[in-house]
Amino acid sequence: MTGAPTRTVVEPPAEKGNEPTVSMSHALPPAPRVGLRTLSWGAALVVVLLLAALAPANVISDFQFFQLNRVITFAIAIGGLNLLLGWAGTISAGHGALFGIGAYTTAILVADHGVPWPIAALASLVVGLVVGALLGLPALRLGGMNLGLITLAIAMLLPPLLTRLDWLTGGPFGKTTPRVEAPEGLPFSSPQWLFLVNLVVLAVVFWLLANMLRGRMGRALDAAASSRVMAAAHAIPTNRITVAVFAVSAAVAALAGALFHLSTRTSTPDSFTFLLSISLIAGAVVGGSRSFVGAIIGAAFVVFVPESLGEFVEPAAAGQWQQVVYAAALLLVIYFFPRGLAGLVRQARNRLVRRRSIHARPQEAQS
Amino acid sequence: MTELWQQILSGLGSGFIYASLALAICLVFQGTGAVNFAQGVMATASAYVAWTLVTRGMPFWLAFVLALVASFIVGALIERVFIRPVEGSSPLVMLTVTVALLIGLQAVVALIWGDDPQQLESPFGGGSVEVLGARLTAQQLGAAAVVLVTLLLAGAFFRFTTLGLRMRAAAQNPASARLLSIDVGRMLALGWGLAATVGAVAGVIFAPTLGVSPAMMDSSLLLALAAATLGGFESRVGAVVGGLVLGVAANLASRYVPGIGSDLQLVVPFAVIFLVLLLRPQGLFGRASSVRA
Repeated sequence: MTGAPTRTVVEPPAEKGNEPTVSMSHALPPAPRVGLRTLSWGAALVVVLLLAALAPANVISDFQFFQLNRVITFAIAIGGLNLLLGWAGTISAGHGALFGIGAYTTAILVADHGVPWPIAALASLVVGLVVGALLGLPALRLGGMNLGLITLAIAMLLPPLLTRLDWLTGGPFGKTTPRVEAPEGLPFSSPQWLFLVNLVVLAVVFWLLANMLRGRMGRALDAAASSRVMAAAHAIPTNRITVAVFAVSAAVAALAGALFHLSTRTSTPDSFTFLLSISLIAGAVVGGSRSFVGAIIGAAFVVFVPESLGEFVEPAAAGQWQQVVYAAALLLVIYFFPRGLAGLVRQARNRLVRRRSIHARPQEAQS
Repeated sequence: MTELWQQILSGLGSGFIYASLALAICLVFQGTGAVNFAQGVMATASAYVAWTLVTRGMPFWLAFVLALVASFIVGALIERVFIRPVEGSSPLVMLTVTVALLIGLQAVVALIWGDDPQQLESPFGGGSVEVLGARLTAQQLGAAAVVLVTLLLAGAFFRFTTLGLRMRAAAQNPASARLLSIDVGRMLALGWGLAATVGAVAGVIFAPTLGVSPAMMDSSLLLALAAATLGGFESRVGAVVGGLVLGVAANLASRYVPGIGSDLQLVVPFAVIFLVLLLRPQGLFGRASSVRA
């Protein structure tokens, strides 16, 4: 599944509305460029990582690390959701529930069975994959958007189900696990250590997803999203890839949920309500559903906007104002920046770059 | 036997809520191609309007009519303001907009009227009637009758009036409709208004049983979406029948299937959908269509 050769073969004559990820290959030979970019991003990440993690507690407090951990875990989940929204052209209103299933899997394994947390997190990933495939299979019958209706059902059903199955899930009080400590000898507090772990997972997951989407899979998905019939006529197994992508997306969400639980340490049924699923969709749309940078922007939006609202309105109404802000942000982004904030950033950057470059990019002039 | 009969009848009673919401969802879907997740909360807002008027001393039926009129106007306005800018976009965009409307409207309702559930007095009094051995409250019977009349009126409207036919034409083939000098934009706004009204009938008339609260329509919305899927989104009759079937099925399951109970009642519609779609992917009343690229 290497990206470079397929790209030159499969790429259609540049069409209107093609995404910049596609048009990027016009400027320079793609392969070395992608490698360089990945490397430089990786290097930058490592530097930031070390700087941040070594910062003394008075620069970045443990609470702020805790917040950052929430941002990163949400970003991972939103990245997974982007596979559906941005590439597969379908929607999941139940990613909050899949996130919750991941969190509970880890919580139960660690709390009741003494499984080490990394293995528990991997188990969450597998559970997510299986649940995703099981949901995806019958939903195929319904085609595209109707998948959303089925996923809506698990979003609504999970909290009462978690409350009901108290022998497994601890009922309304949920499950609490001990704090995750850094290995002996490393000078990190628990949130700092988890921050490092989460960042590495984020980088690895996004790198894998981006590679998957750059290759045959991404092409096939783009084709299927623009016309299922045409894609099928070109021997793309549209049904199979939809289920596969849904399963992968669910697995990523469950993994993110597992990491989320490791940070918060307590999972209760009302941590994973329908509003969480909505928040993830809001994050994906606001950030830009075809961008992994967008996933991070969207996650920051989801974590920090409600928080900063809490300072302006009375606490009783904070949840409602949060909903109003989500709604307004969603509508504004849909109307004015259909590619999300990441699209906005990219546009601005392209404008800057174009001034210095002779490689004018005709596609992006149209967007 | 009497108990079974009783359960079926009260299931039909709540089935009428789902049926009318499902019909509203169908109307919107046929017109603008949007699955309107905000349909339930729009009905909730109507119920609150009626409740406010009644607590200010207005007679129920006047408040009922005023709430319907208000819902019609608000529904049409929502189409004009929020849906028009994205008309003809992908279903995903449409869905995002209606989800945004859902969370926004729900919050606005809670901000205006508060979270506490309110009571609305039943216009049919507290009596009860015996139907073939089953006991139904006057409220159950009256509400079902009102919804039934609404559904019949809506059906007649789309079949026998010029306006109704125009709306169907605009929904089915906007380009040809435009050539016949039908103002498609106005028809779509009317469609949303009409859908909001149908939803409002259910919201207001069932408010005495459901209680008036921001979340009163949440589970009904889910069942209505399920009903519309079951009947096929293109079929108005299908949506109504789907709603009634699901109402009965959910009620029977929560009574007779061990381990379901009222909190997990939502399992039922989706189980029914799975079963139906395995056999008839286009829904009970939908038509199988071939697709051309």
